[in-house]
Amino acid sequence: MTDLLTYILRGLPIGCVFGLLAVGIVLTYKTSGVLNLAFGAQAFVSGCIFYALRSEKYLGWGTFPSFVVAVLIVAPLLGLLLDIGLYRHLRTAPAVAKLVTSLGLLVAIPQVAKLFIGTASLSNPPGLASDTTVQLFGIDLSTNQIATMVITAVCVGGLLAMFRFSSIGLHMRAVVESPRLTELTGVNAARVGAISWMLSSAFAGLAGVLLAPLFSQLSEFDYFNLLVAALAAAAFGRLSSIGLAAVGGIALGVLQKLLAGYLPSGNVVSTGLQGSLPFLVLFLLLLFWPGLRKPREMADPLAAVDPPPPPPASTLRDRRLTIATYVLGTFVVGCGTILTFTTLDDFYLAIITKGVILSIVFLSITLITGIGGQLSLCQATFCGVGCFATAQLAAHTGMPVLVAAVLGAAIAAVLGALVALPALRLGGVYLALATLAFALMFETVIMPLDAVSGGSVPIKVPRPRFLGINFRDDRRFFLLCVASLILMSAIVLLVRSGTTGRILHALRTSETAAASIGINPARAKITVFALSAAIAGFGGGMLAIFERRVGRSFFQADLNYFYGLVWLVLVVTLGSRSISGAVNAGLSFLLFPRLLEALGLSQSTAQGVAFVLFGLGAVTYAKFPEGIIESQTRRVLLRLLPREAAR
Amino acid sequence: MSIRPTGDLMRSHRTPTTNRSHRSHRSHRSHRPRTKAAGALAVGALVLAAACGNVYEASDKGNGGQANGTTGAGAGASGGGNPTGAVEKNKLKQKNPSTQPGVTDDTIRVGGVAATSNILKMPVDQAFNGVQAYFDMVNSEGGMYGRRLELVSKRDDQMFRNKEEAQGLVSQDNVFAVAPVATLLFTGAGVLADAKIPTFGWSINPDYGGPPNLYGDKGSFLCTSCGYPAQSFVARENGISKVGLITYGVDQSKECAVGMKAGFERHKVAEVVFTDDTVVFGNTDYGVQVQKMKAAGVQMVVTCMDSSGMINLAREISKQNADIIQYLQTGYDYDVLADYPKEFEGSIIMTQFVPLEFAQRPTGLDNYLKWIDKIPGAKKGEISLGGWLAADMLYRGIAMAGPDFTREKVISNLNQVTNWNADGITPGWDWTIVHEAPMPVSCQSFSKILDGKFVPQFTEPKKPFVCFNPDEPLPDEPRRKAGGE
Repeated sequence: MTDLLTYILRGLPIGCVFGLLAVGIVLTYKTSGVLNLAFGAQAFVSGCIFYALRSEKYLGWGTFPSFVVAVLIVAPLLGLLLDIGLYRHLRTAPAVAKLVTSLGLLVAIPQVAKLFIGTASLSNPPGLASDTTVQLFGIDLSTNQIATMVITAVCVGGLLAMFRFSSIGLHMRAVVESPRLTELTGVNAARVGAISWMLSSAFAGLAGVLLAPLFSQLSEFDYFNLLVAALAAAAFGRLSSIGLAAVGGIALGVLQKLLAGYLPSGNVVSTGLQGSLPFLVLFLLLLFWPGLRKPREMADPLAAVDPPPPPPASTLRDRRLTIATYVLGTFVVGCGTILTFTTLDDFYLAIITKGVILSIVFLSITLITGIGGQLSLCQATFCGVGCFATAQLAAHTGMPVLVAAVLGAAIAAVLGALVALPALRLGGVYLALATLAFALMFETVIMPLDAVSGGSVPIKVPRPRFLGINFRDDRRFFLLCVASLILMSAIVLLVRSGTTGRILHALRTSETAAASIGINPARAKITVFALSAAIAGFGGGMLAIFERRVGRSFFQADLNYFYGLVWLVLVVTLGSRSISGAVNAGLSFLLFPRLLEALGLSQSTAQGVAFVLFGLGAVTYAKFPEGIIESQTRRVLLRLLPREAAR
Repeated sequence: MSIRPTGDLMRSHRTPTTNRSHRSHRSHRSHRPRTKAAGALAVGALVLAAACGNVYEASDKGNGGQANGTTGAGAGASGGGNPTGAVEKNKLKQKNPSTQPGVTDDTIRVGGVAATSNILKMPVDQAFNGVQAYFDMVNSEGGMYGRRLELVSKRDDQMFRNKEEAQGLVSQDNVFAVAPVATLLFTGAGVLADAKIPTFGWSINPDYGGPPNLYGDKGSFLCTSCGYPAQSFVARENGISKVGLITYGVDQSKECAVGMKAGFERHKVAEVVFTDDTVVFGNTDYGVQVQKMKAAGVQMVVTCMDSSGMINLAREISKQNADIIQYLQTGYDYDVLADYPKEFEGSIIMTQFVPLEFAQRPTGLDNYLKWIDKIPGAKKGEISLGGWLAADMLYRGIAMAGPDFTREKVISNLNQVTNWNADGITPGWDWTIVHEAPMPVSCQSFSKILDGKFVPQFTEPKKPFVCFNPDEPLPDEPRRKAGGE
């Protein structure tokens, strides 16, 4: 048998895994209108339950009862819970709101599972079949791999048949388009929606159990990494074709094996191409695949029968209230700074300093998401760019480190503009996916390069001297960080209230209408992308100066893509349209787990609970797009002024 | 008081401009002020840039070794005549008052940090058990200078919060020393180095290298690209003539492969017939790699990967029924062995401590096995042994510093120890060298995995280590030695 044929055959099992996941994503999207990034998290839950039931280390049940409980009972129940608790109320919400909700679940669900599992290793996960090897066309495959291929084929065929030939398939698609219209024909939209979610969740559970034997131990990150590859396949299927998604997954798996088989070892292109293949494919598909160029947003044609939603609370503001807010904010920041400077020990000083720096980075999310209305999942990457640029410039040129931080911000801005340029044709969830693909490409291929992260030994970063003041001392440096935060906040406020902010506001309201009055959406989007990348980059530079040593391990620990997702979730939870939201998020990210520890939780439990709460907070995004805290604050303030508000 | 739409909303009705003439007029009007503003901004930026400078820590510019004066003969050093850090137990009874941080009238407080809840699920918290077992042993003999050693803080950095937890150890836990550090990432190295606090840990990170107060159980300087002759020796002794190399496509892993390849090329025992340094971290399927290795006739594959990668590769080798063994540089882990006995059958693992199965165990290893069994939930293996070794270094450092021990004295005395071996567990590390460079002669021990057990190889009675001089040709019969010999 030729090498080509064997590589193709070897690619089939992993391709089927991609395909299975992709089909699950498409199924969810077709039946609920949700691009479910939490699909991998749902799969992880079923994988864990199957492990706990099946493994001899725990209950040691048989394969069939374990499968029934993990895939046919728990997974559909989880789907039902998600439908009743969340997605039923989001059926006609904007796609971005649904995506943020799924991001929140992506963060929260694995943490909930881990609170039950604990820190124990789930090693050598069992599969549905035994792990014996059989020969198929001359290559050795495990029975688990064969089972995956067979099940993928059966599922794809079954789903295609269901959508084509059954009334429930038709009802599912109809409910996504317009629940009201469907109900007018006598169909119970809520019941159909629930069935959709239970089915897609069972599919996630099936994928979770089938995927488990691929790994040496179960980890939610492995599930998410495979999900990104599956997203590429789902994009190939235009998020609507189950058959094409399956084909895309299989093609991706085969392509990976062909690259592994034919690309020469020891050159940068090979390493880069293999490392980034799924992300690169996803990025390219999003940009150039015809079916995705003009994404169709789900919109209920009968939505107009509803009264218009009330305006966001943040758009109603009294002048005196605004002044009072600024005065109070200044007072709180001033007192907090003085207290931190004078009373806190080095541990909390370090945490709050880092929180202040993260607040700077989070202002970039305020700018791009809160003001610009775009969902970027690569702000942590821009932060990393600024961080390493600052470190490298200061270490290798002897440049003043604050100047290096500004240059780092400029480099991040250029990169931001370059990312925005091809992504302009995209919007909503597709732009988010493109930025996620970029973040993963950077983390996998670019960041590990010596020229970027400095090799295996961390780069040493000096502290600044500015206007004759030496900032080597941590307390002085804290003041510098606060000053930087104020400066960046002022820039964001200026942008928000200036021409760019007004253009963005107009674009957020109606891009078509804005274009009709002469606004250039492309220029505005590139501007906001570049500016937000610059702010994230500057924050990264300050982070490098704060840390004093930065390298790959620092990036993996503090700036990985997953943290980028958590950051976004946290900012939109606490208020993506206000400066205070970013500052609250920056400080909460580090202080909230400590607060839970102070209440008696163990460190790992406290972090888990914090992530669960952060994640669950984001699921309120659709209802409170300005952030739940911001919204509740405004609500309380408006209650204090009932008469005027009524008028 | 009235509620009205904000300026944003109001202005959005007025602007952007609704007709071309208005826009061009506005543009013309604002042109000069914008130019002026840009000019002012540029001048301001230049002035601010001129006002900027950098401040370097003493340890930022150099390699750290002598930078803060804690190595060498300063700070009350007295360890020059004690190459192994031997302890005279009768001298530990004297009790003097102390004002050192973390030292009370009856205890010496020690804190540690481990990635207890890491995403890789490695049982690194076992290092705490190793430290606790050692402290129990010392305390059972009366402690040190009238005080008990107490592990008062067990921080969990969750893999990603190492720097914060290191800062917490320094400024919140009131500890005299840090032991163990058993983390997958060591971003807090700088904090501990700057605090000049004696720090001892299970070293898998290059971050240990440099600072004179950071001590790894395998020496602090990790040389991944040195190309030691050990693997050539193993190949020769096993009659292996064709080897393969697999690494992740990241520089640290690739550097390791470069060193391995250089070693094989230099000693010409075996030919490297397959190399893949492009594997993606997290890869689960090694089907193509194993197929190619089979075709190339590879008999032994050397990897520079984590345990997850090694396991997945072993599973694929087993699945394809390939006659290939692995040369493992990490992974002396009984749990992994219990999970994958068939997959790792015949593989060779290199360690820098005496294998626990070695028949003529040194005193240190006997003590470890005796005391680790008394800790509930403790597991024997590389990581708890790493904790034990960390505690051993601290113990010897305090002992050598005398009844008026200080952090500086502990560091300065330890840094004069030229043959630290923890009563025969390690081959012997020279702390005048291994903060910043590898040992001139490298010694390892080897075990073969047979029937699901580690079986020591190439040993002589009481001599578990095999030593090589990297600058010399591979000897026909390399020197064997006992730990610390």
